[in-house]
Amino acid sequence: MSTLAVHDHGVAHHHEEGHDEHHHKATFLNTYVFSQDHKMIAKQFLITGITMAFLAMIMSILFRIQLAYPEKTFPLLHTLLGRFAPDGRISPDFYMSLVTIHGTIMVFFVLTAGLSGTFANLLIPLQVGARDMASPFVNMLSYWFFLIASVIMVSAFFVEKGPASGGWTIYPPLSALPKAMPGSGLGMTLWLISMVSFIGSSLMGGINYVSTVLNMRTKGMDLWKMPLTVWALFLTAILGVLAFPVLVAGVVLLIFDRSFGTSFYLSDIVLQGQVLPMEGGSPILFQHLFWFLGHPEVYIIIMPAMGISSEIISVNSRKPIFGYHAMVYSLIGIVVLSFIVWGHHMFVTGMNPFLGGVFMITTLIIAVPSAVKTFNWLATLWRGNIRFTPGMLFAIGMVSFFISGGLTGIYLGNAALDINLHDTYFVVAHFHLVMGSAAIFGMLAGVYHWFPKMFRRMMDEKLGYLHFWLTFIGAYLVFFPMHFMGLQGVPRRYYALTAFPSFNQWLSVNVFITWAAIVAGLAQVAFIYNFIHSIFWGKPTVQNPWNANTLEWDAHIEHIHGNWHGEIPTVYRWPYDYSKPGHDEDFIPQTVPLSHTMSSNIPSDFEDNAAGLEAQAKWAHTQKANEEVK
Amino acid sequence: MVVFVITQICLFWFLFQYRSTGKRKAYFLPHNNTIEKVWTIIPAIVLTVLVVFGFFTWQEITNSTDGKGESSINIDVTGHQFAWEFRYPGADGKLGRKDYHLTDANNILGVDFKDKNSFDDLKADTLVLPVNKSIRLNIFAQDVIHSVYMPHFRVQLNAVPGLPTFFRFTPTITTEEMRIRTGDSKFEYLLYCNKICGMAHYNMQRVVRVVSASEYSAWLATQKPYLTDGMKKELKMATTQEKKNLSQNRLALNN
Repeated sequence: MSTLAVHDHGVAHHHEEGHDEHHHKATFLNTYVFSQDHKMIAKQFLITGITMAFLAMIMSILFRIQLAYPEKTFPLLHTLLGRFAPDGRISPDFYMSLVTIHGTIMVFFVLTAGLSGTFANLLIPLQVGARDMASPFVNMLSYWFFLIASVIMVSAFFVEKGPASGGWTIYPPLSALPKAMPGSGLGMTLWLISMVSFIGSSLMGGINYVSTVLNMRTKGMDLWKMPLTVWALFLTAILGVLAFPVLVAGVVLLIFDRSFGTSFYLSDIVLQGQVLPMEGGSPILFQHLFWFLGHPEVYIIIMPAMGISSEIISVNSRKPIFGYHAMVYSLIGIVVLSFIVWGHHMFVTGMNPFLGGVFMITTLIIAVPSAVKTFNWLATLWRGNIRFTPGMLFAIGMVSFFISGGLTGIYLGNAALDINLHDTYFVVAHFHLVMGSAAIFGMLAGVYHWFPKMFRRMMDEKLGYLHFWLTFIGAYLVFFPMHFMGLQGVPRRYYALTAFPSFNQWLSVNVFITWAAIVAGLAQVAFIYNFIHSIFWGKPTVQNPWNANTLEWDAHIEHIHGNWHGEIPTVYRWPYDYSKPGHDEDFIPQTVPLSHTMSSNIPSDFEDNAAGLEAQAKWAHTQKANEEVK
Repeated sequence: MVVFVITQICLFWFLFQYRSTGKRKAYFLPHNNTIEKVWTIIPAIVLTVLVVFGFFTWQEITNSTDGKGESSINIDVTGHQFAWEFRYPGADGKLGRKDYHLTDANNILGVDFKDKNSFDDLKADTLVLPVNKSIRLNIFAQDVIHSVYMPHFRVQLNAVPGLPTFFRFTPTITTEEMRIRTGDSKFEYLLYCNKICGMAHYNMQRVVRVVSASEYSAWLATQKPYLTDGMKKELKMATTQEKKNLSQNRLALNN
């Protein structure tokens, strides 16, 4: 069937499905709490994610205070934290717990579940034209497992010896031996239980996203007509489904080592003068299992941010995304390559040096698709007609951070240079820019851009600009100086630098970083105020506030179960027909058939559509004839 | 660095240049295969060059067997919560074997004194190294993972329990010289832990001193042997017991 002819396809048979929501009564419990509606689940993920982000941010400010003022006492801290900050100074144990839980929450709970969970749930059904996820019930379970994991993770602050404190990478033997440090006791057990529950959530979500994208696209929505957000979220879900189970394996073996006396990761250990009986295990095995997830994990974090930014940059430049196919292929390239680069986290672990060489090669290859994406974003901006909405600013910020952090990655990916930079502040600066700041900016861009879709109201733009500039400048001021600290060999995860006279020069830098972090932290208050205020009192939105092409802006503003009254619209074109020459508006939604836009069609719109091309030629012919008559 | 400046400038310049005027329409440019190929291939070439250089440097650093006629000074570095222990070979230039089962309050490294090479091993609390001499650090950990980090020498390798590793390098500048160069009369090279290892991770350091060959041998002569009197006593019992065992075995064989 030709694309030109499909717009009048069958009407009747979708009717029943569309009015499904009348069958059961909407109660408070099934609307807001145990909701199976993807839009509500997206909001649940978002709000839980933001809450966790605030907790993790407060933790980071606490340990920044310790780094800036290692000798000072703050009686207030004692009042607030009790035994964790005896006489007003954070204790070394609690410092370690703070960095550990900050990392864990940010990486998994905010940037994996908060980002993918929110936007995959919101956008996949709306942008591919589905009434809901493939399995709404599993989708609901996915949220509840995530919530349970979050509660367990945070509850570790209430056990006597404090939460896990071996770093977010929880390398054994430190994490396996409860005697090695206080956090490796009950705190570590809770960490492991929480992660198993989290991975369960992530798998249920991921399988749902993949099957929804593959099976539930509306008529006309072939894979090459999907927006880049859906491509990115789809590939992220595949990556997560393949990588997360490996972490479960690693975690379960660690639970065995801790609780059942096995020695998968333990061997030749003399702890505090006592010879332990474990023999034959290898701590390196855990690192392999951990980073086999851990490296795909950073792409699980950054790819949704890339997809969101691609979409927002295109919409607000009023220009098609440059190199749509290249963008998709580079995402696929990243997915495949991300499975074979994990060893670059382990160059100096004593792993066979030959392996180090191999992983260096694969690591630098993965820089190529990343570079292509960056150039394509720049080319999208080039000669655009740019609108600076807060969402757009955050998307641009994401590109900026991705460049800054990506380039230092080329240094770190080089095994020879990594010898000196491994585990220093250079690494801290690198990943906070490339996956921390970049991904959180992608997430915030998404929140500003799709807020009208989620809450039917607009966010305040002025506060959005304030939030952007303070956060953008703050993040650079925090992380940029860290590169220089790392180059001088300042190690990460040090409670205080006071033990080293040669590090004294960094104390003033640390004070500066801490204040920059506090200001950037306060900027988030502007966001949260804007967010909550706009949910209730924001300006009501119009149907398509950004004049975007994608399908979600065609769905009803009023949230209904099933997204569209009546039948789901058919899709006729790719999502990036912005500023197409010959068309009177600067956007053409995906639902507009080619037959309605005869004046702007170009031959490449008719790939595999001979009938359409013929019709177009005929139209052009008559047009010409008409002009001649005039 | 250059790439960083150019791309960031492009990013912000494009933003400024093409901000919306409300009148203009954007330039419809969905793709351009030539330029896409160009900016796939150029990064690929640049990265290939970087990989090749990196690979050879890495090979050079990690290819750590002694060449013909070369001999490195073997030094054991052992990390535990929260200190580093050094063991130097004595006059024979060889370190004795170790077995972690033998670790106790006296023999904190678990040195195996059945190996005669261990009798003259020396104990030190500063890592003193002769300049321009190849050094081979044998790296061990007793309890959790530590990391031997000596940034001035561009040396880092994790100390993993159950996985002995080593790192070979050659110090080229003495501490004295560095003091003159940096203008800091208190300058010291340091070795510190760079893998989270517990509460006092932030203060697990030792001084490294690079000295001339003659100073090195003078220093080495003043170091105490690892085999202390206390240990000798314990050991004698062990050796007599062993002899008994040995003779019993012979008896058994005779039968």
